[in-house]
Amino acid sequence: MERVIGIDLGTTNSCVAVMEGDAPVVVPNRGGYKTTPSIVAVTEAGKRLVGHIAKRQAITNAENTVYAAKRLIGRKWSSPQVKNTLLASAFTIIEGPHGDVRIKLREKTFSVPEISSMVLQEMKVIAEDYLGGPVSKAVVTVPAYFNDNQRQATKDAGQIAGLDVIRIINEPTAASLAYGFGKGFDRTIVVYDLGGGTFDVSVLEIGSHGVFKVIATTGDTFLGGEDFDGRVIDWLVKGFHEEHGIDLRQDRMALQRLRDAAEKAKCELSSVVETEINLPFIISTGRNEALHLQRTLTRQVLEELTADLVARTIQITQQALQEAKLQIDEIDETILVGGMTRMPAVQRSVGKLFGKDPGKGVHPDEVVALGAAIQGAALVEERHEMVLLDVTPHDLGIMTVGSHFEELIPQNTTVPTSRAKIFTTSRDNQTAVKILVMQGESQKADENELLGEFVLTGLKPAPKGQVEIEVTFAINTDGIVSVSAKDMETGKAQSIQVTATSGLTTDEIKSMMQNAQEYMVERRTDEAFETERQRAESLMSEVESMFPIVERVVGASDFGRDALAKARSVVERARQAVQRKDTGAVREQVDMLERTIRMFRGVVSRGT
Amino acid sequence: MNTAPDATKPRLVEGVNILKLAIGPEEAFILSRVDGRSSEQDIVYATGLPVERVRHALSRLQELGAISFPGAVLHSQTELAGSSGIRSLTYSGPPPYDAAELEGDFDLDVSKRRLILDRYYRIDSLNHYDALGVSQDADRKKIKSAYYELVAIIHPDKYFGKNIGHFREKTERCFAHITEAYDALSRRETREKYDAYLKSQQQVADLQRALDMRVTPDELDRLESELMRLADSATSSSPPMVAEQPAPATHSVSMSMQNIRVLSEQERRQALANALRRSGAGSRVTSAGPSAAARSSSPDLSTAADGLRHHYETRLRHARELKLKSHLQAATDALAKNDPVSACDALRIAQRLAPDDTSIAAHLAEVQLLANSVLADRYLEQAKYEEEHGRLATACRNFAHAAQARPSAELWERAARCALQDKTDLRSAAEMAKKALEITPDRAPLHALLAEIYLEAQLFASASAELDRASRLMPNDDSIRELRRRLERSGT
Ligand SMILES: Nc1ncnc2c1ncn2[C@@H]1O[C@H](COP(=O)(O)OP(=O)(O)OP(=O)(O)O)[C@@H](O)[C@H]1O
Ligand SMILES: [Mg+2]
Repeated sequence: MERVIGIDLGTTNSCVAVMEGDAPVVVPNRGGYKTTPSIVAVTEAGKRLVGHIAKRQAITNAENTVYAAKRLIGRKWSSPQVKNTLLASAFTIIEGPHGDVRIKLREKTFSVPEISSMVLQEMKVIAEDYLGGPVSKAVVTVPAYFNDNQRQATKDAGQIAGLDVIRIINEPTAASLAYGFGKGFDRTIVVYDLGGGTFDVSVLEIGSHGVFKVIATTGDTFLGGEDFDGRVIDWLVKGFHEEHGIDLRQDRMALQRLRDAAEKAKCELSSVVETEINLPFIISTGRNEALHLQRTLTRQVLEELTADLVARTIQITQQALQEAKLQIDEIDETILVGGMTRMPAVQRSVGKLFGKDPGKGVHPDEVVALGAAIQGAALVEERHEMVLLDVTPHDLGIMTVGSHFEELIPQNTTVPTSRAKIFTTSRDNQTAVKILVMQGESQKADENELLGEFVLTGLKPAPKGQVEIEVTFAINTDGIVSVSAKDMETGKAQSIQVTATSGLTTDEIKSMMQNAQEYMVERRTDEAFETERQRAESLMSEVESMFPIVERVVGASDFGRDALAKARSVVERARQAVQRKDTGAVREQVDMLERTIRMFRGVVSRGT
Repeated sequence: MNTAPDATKPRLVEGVNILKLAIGPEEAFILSRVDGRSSEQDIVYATGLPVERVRHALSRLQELGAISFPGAVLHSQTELAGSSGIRSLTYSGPPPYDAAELEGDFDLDVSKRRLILDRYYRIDSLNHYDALGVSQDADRKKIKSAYYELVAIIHPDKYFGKNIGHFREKTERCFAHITEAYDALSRRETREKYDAYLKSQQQVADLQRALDMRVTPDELDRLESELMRLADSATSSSPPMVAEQPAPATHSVSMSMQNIRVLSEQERRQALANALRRSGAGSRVTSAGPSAAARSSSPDLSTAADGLRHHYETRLRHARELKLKSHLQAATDALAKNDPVSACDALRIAQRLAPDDTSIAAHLAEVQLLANSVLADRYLEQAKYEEEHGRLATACRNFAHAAQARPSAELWERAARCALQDKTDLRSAAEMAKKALEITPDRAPLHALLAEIYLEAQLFASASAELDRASRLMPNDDSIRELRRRLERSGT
């Protein structure tokens, strides 16, 4: 049976895991790291870079390096979060054809799912190298508080990457699986997940028969390590401005260096109480002189700068408990997930809220991917006893007369779930009815997230109010919404057209898939060429190193001169093949080189 | 499930002292029908009670150890089903689906098909406890494990990537159903509310019965024959003994008395004739038959008949007076215990015993009013619960019931709001809003409500007129202005 991989597609770091027997394991990348930065870049030569290699060149290629694409995925161009990112990003963000967001790298424009697909593709390759065979099925995680558009866009990213995403699961829930799978616990737990870009809290029950049931989930999809970094950057920028009257934000390279330094300092302050931020030649002034940035940041100052962020996570956690209708003392354990939970102030605050230290024993960077792998295996292999019951994080509803939001499925309803509603025509001979479906917690429709316009078409002409259509709104186990309709009179399915979504069209996805596949072919050929090239080069140098001795032994004879000339031409042809990047020709020359070496060895052994 | 033919027929457990059981009249009634030969469905027919109530009573009687289901299950008894060895979680009684539905080339074993269909077609009649197969006093732990056990079978992920055809949709529906039950019962707060709701539902049924006291044809037949027996015994036993006999106090006898009425001439004759036939005097008319005997004008016979009739009537009067007293007392006691249902019952019987006593009629009317107001309270409780849980149509109905029992503008308004939210019956919504307006014609928010209903129903002219009224009464109101804006937006 083909194995399903589990991918934690993080804002800052991604991680992939597979099930080995009864236990999930994280697959390290080629560099031996268990997580891979979710960073994508395009080089001057048009080459795509993903992961550590992209991160390393970020400072010198800031404008063409995408960080934290997850903060943009599934969002509309007009959303405040996009405006926010626009200000802080070194790369160029433009409006897409569906009111969505596109990213410009060099001359090409990419959709956000496309950028994310590059990271997914990288994770897929890491798994394939480890498993020694192709992988096509995956479970991908998303923040629990992601709405339908964000989930759908993530699924699209998977598809573009050539992955069949058999399930989208929520990150905190995945973490709870890794924590409780196969342990026979009977507990109520809280998962506090503060990552690079998002914050989630889920309250879960774990019990018999491998059942994991989410009771409530809340969060903020725009609250994470990036915001902590932002506070440090602000602090540095402000200080620099006070000192030199220069706004460092105007310089993209400087901004990128600040970003790196801020994150580094923040992480260091989790283990030490004071750190030095040193950025020499951060910017040059007009008079050909460079300015340096040098400051000391203490843990205490960092905690002051970010106190409100931590407080907000605590407030959201309390809200989750309230939604779950549980008291603090009914929680058996708290689990911390996400790199940001290494910050002492975070651990302290969570510990204080629950009156006990948060549980250790899960790896904050790896649990999410491990959980995804468990879910993947449980779905396709019956022997694993596990069922995950998750909830929908937002109210689902429709817009009614006068821009009112009418709730149909409330948040924290266990999925899959559905709700039917009857619609009727309001004019004589009306043949189409439009339904605006949205998600959110506001009474006012326009404050909520529009998921799409669904148009029931081809209704039979009749006096108003006579045609009745039953529309079913369903949320599946991925948390993705679908709408279907049937004619009440005939019981026949009614066609629905979906318009006004910010998502990609099927055609767009297809063409992006095509690009991704081409890239993959190219990359695999590059890799094949690279192996051949390395072999050819080592053989060439071996042959060349043998010339003097062969010359000495047989150089005087005609045969010897002939053999040497042939050998030289083989080396030359190999060199040209390498230059042409012709993998097939290189392979041929590798053969010839090997034969040459055998011949030379014979000559040398006979001659001595 | 492999149900044996009589596996689902409850049977009395031997050696149980029924008088010591903590059960109510309804359960006792149902218990009286348990004979090892009747199935649940038979009992439903025999008692005329709704199936859920019978099922509930049977399950309670089973818990109390009064009855058993030989080799079968009602809810949570363990049984191995098929090869999969899963615990059978099907319900007793005949399957509620057509056996043809079990067929089809699906990747799902038959025991699971049964389980899913068995639940799917009962969804509307199962309360939350039935859904999980636990008793009403089950603790949280038991509820959790019952639910988790069901989830492990019913969750659609258990059939991921498999072709289970129409069972997928049904599985999802069953899953949603048990989950709703679990969500309500697993938190103290929500469970208390649900229990109160169930209780109030039961009370409403009782009250409703007390208020409209339907007598079924069956019951009439039974009364008829009992009367005949009474007449028989009256003529064959001696009068003094009868007078001393204490009034029977058991439920079933009082039931038999409730329809006592003055016997028709014909019936009385018949009774007398019967009696005479059996007495020595009748030996002379063996071949003439009862009617001939009755018609006979022999003076001897006529004196004897008069005497008998006298005895009979005295006896009946005595019995009636005694009964009357005991029922009036029962009514007083019931009222003291704040149980208007039983009081109503008792008074109604009393009234039949003394149809001309106006004070009893007045008293009954008073108690009915009281019962009505209790009923209104119960309806209100239910409506609130249903409104909170999104069952708007039923909530609306119950608000309206409450409003009928105790007319108030507020109740009509709430009923109308539910109907408006539910949108399926905007006409009733408008009717109810108008009822509220009849009571308090000058409340601007009511006019606004009616306007909103009209707006929703696309009756823009009426909506506009109502809005005018509303804004005359309350000129600077934001919500009225907002409605006006909505009207303008949608009117064009
Ligand atoms: N020792 C540390 N102290 C403080 N912060 C840290 C530490 N190590 C990592 N972080 C921060 O944790 C964040 C990354 O966490 P993680 O890898 O869990 O996020 P992610 O999974 O990529 O994001 P998300 O889950 O929000 O999509 C970064 O902001 C990083 O700076
Ligand atoms: Mg994460």
